[in-house]
Amino acid sequence: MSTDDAALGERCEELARGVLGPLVLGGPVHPVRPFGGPLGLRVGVVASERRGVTDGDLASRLDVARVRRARLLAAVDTLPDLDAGDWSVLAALNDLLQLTNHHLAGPLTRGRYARVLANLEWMCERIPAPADVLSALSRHATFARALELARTDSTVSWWTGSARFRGEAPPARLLAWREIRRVQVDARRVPLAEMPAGVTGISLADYADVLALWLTRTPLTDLATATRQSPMFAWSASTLALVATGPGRMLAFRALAAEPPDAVNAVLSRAALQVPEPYEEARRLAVGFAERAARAFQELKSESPRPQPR
Amino acid sequence: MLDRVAVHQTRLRTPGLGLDAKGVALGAKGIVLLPSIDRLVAFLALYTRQGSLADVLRSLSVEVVKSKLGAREVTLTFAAESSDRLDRIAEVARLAGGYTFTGTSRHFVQYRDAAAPFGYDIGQITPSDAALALYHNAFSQTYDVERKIEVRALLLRLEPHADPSTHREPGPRWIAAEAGLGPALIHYFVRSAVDAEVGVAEWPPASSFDEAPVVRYLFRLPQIPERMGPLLASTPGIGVFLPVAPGAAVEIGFRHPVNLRACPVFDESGLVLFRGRGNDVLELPRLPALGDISAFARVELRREVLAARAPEVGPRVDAVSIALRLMPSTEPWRAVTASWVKLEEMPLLRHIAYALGPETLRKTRIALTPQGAFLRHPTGIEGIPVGEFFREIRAGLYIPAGWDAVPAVAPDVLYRALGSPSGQVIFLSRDGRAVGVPGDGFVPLEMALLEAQAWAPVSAISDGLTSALATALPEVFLGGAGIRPLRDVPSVAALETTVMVQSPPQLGPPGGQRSP
Repeated sequence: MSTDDAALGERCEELARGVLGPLVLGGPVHPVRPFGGPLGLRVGVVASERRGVTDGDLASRLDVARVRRARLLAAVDTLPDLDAGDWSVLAALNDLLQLTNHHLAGPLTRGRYARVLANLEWMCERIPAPADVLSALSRHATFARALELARTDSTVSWWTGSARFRGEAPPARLLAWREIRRVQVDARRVPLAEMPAGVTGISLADYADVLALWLTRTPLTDLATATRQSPMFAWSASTLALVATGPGRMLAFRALAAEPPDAVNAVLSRAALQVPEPYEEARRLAVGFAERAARAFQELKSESPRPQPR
Repeated sequence: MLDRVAVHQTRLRTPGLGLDAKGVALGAKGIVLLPSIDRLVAFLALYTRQGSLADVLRSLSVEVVKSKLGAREVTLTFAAESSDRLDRIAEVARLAGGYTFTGTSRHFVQYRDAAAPFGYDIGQITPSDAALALYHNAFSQTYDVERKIEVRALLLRLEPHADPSTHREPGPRWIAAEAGLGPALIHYFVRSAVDAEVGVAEWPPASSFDEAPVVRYLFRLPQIPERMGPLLASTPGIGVFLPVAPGAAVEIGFRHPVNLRACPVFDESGLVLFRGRGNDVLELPRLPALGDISAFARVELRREVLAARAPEVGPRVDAVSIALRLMPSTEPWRAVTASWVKLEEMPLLRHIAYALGPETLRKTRIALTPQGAFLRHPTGIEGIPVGEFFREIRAGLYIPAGWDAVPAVAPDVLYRALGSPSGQVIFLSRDGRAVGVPGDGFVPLEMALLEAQAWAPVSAISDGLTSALATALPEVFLGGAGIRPLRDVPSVAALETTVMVQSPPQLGPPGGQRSP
């Protein structure tokens, strides 16, 4: 193992502890130093060669949580370990979170955001999509909670002033003597899609595009969160490839069944219409899936309701 | 003084003495010199406790020898055969106070001991015409044979020792009863349904004044009922004998000093009865003919046999119905599967319940009635030692254990006389009163025992569900990215020139295109 690989292995561990574990198991997510495009792709190869997470306890808990998530869609008892693509998706998510970090650049280094954004797009375009339906399910089990990521922004005001904190806990000195200093804390949870608000180096539109691009790397998650507000769902090559297979379509139906039927129908219909006409096969797939989903929801609704418990 | 035989010594001066495979000086015979008859008996007793005398009995010869000074001693002569056998005999002889010698004809030298592991040799042979010359490290002596002692005769003459433990030994018994007691004993056994064989044995008259031979009844019983033991053992004229060896038996309460089983000197077709209290041994060269005692059962012949006749009009016979009674019985207790716990004994039952095992609690069924509790256990109620025990003489019909119903009608007849109550379990008390307990009133004892227990709910922690619900939401915390946070991130210009090779198969085409 070369020195570079050893250093990259340590960064994998850092990534697993700071991002992967909290993402799957819940808890505070601490993004690590951005990887960039080439290193992000290489980190997957190195991590998969090192047989994933070396912390046995964390690996065991991750396995349990991922299987639990996967069993919401399919009756599987085990899932394959994270492959190289999964690790690269994880590195991309880390860079995505760093894109919202106001500590990343100062007034004179605003260009860093554009640099990270360009690397992120470059990397997401090159991360391989899942090779099969099981890989898609496995990747979804890892990243299904990505859109649940949130940040708490706090505004602390006191009798002589106020301070804002993005993703940081206010220091205790500002919260001391609450009664006397008339301290007020206004905390607001910021979802992943709105996180770049307040960062001057990146626009919301660019961020939404790269987030949508990142979502296409885990197509089942993309479909399962189709009713999200931002970024709006759009068919991609990977999501269409997934629903083109019977088992993949079934997984997609199951993932969408938890969402409100009207919202799902509206999103799928709109997305199908957005597929450019030259891509006839893709458009036919998208329309067909939307119709089947509508029919399935109709059948579900027409089924006799379950007896209410007395 | 004797010479010790050395290792690898090949020549010995003692006539008839050689070296066996182990290098031990050994002759064809062995001799044990014992100072007296009682030491001989001690030797036999000790030897027969450890092993059988059968292997040396064929060549065994017991003689009383007399030295030139007139001292009489006892010698046992036998074939030596091997040093192993002689070692064993020498150990027992040493314990009995005797000396062991080995030789072949007349000259016998001390057998090996701890001082000379390979034995001894004679320095110089004593010139003598005596029949026996014994050479010991401490003495050398010549003896003449005075008389021989037969082992069998010696054993017959030995007085058995008192040993009360033989009363408790199980197994078959011989009984010798004087002529006057025989018939009574036969009928006693017949009445008591004891399996036995009986024969009549004759012995020569005790003295010249008696004309007729002495006649005794001889019984062979496979097992004596325990209750008869004291009666038979204490009745004068009756002797109970425990077979100790083929063809030999010792009276109960006594034990022969020698283990007779290790001394096969008695003929199996005959019988030798060793009697205690100084009585002579009863010896039968051949067993008398033995027959089953049932052949001696008392028979009564009717004078004439009444033929059935057609009913005639005549005086009617009054009803003969009588009241049912219960009488104490000497029969052993069988099928004691129920008990009746009176009300005053209920506290005791509660106390005992704490000590009962789980199996008993599970299988015992109880019915609580105003007359008390009735307990039933299919395999025996003795495990709950409270109340009056009942035995089941028929399904659903119990009478007190140790009591019999009189008249001795069949249990089915008795059940019918009680009205054949269905679903009722009938208990007959000692005064003839019958108590019926509904069969479905019996419940498992373990269910009836415990009072309603107060319980306090505790919150159980379901690990799987709780952990699933307690999964924390992922929350992003932002912090400093350190010095040169983008040192791994290439610039846009450098990115354009980077060439990556994509190889793995994938579901969709490489690249995340927002629209196909």
